[in-house]
Amino acid sequence: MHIPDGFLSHGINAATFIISAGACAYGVKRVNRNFGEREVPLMGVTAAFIFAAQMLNFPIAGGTSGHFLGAVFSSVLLGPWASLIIMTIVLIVQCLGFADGGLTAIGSNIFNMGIVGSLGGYSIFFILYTLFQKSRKGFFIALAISSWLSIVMGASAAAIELAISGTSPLKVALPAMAGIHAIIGIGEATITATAVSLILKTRPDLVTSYVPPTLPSPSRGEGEGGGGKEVLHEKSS
Amino acid sequence: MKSRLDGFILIGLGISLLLALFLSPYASTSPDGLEKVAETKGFAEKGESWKFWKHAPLPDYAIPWIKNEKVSTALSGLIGTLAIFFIALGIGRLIKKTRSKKILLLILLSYFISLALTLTSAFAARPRTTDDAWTVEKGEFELEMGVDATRQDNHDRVYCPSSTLTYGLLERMDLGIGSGYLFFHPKEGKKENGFADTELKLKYRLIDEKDWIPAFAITGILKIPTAKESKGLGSGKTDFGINAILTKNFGERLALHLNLGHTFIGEHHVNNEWNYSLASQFILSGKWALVGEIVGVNNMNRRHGDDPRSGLIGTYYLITDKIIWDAGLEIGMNKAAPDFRLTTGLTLLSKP
Repeated sequence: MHIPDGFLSHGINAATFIISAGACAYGVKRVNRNFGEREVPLMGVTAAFIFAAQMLNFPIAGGTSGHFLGAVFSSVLLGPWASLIIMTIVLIVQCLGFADGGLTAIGSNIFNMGIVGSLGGYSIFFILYTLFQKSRKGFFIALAISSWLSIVMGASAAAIELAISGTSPLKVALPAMAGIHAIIGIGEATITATAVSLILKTRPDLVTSYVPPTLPSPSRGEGEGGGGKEVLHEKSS
Repeated sequence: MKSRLDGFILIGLGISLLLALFLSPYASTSPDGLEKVAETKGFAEKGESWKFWKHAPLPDYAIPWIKNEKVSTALSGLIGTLAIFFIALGIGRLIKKTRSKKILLLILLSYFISLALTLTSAFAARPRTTDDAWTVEKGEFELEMGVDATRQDNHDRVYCPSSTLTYGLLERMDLGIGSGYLFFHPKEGKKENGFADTELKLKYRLIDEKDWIPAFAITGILKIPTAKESKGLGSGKTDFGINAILTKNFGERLALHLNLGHTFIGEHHVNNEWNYSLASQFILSGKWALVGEIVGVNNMNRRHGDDPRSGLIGTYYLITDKIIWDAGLEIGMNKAAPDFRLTTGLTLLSKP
């Protein structure tokens, strides 16, 4: 889903860059407020895992491949704003270091995968998790659906950008992008659910969003999740 | 709890590195969702016509000069994963820190970003501690990356991934910068983790090896206290050391290196130190070599109990002419030296 240089118009590039930069600046503020010493190394290792996992393209139908994104995965672990920062770091390194995704399209890529993927994906996760009354089963259903949607929504956002840029008409790009990513999203949902369930088994305190307090908004969820963690911490030590 | 988090971080990083190293070469090479749509809907050529950023060192997750595709992908994945870990860690710290610490972290971070962006290579010196009189060729890079596991005499353990980047400034002069990340696991008490001290090293070879005359080089080493003193990871003070190095080849296969150095310790009430070491390396076959050394430090306080001495045996193997893998085991010979230290790493050369 990494858009290369040349696909998008400069107007779209500029607009998404401004939105992404603003969101990242606010994200830094949020992370600064909510992060403790322990979250920092966790952020490093989550980013490293996402980078490595994004290299593992799996084949889907028709000579196409897809790969893990990790937006909902990192949101569930560290909160959506930290996830946005992680996705931004990964995208910038992929672009500058590995020529994956264009530098002019970096704003759009951060928008599609960070803002739509992490913030959007987590919002859906949060709404569904609340609807399922925070049961364990509900957690995994919410996780699977939101990570599937994070891919489909991100791809749809890319299609809309392509259409506005005049690269491909919306009625062509949107069904094609959403359709192919609906299949890739199944991989995303499977990997996210598996990885999170493994972490839940070994270190439940690291899955911030799983601690079931009342979470009226994704943002407050981080803080309150942190509170729950401390309780677990005292029990385990 | 903190300690268990360290364990989780190491395991998580380990899993990520294994994924990058062993699975990425076998990933599907088919076009991804967007590329496929671009192909079938006829706008793929728009993305191929130009590229704004042309300096990606590892384009398409490959190391350009490695012919073997699988090795190339695996190593670029390894480098990327390690770089991302340090960059994200650095940015995470940066977000948390006060202004003065931010500047220091920015410097460190730009170092690791430059690692990610510049294909580097290391002193082919690993796994030795003893330095050699050889310098990196002018305009070329060396990148060393390694992981150390150390058990102290009191059974405290230290794990340290580290890397050093060296650049050939002149025909006979190179400049290196290296740092690492420490995971300190004491037998009792709180576990700590954080950046290690950063070392800047300038090496100048005064005399080339000729006939019976050994090569002679001197180095100046500046230790910048980037490790947190409050966590017990460093002294919090700047040290400066000078080191004299002799290297002599004996035939095609054997080389000896002799070091004698003096370090001015910045910490108060701590004596300056003399260090000495002798190393040998012997080429077994075209690709394998054996390394051995004896290393010691003396602080001239007339008590020998606190002067660490240790010996190391190790090996290195030339995976290609630009990538060298190494491993070593260091064993302490007295109480002041660590019980043992295991080290393994890679040296990447921009030119063999």
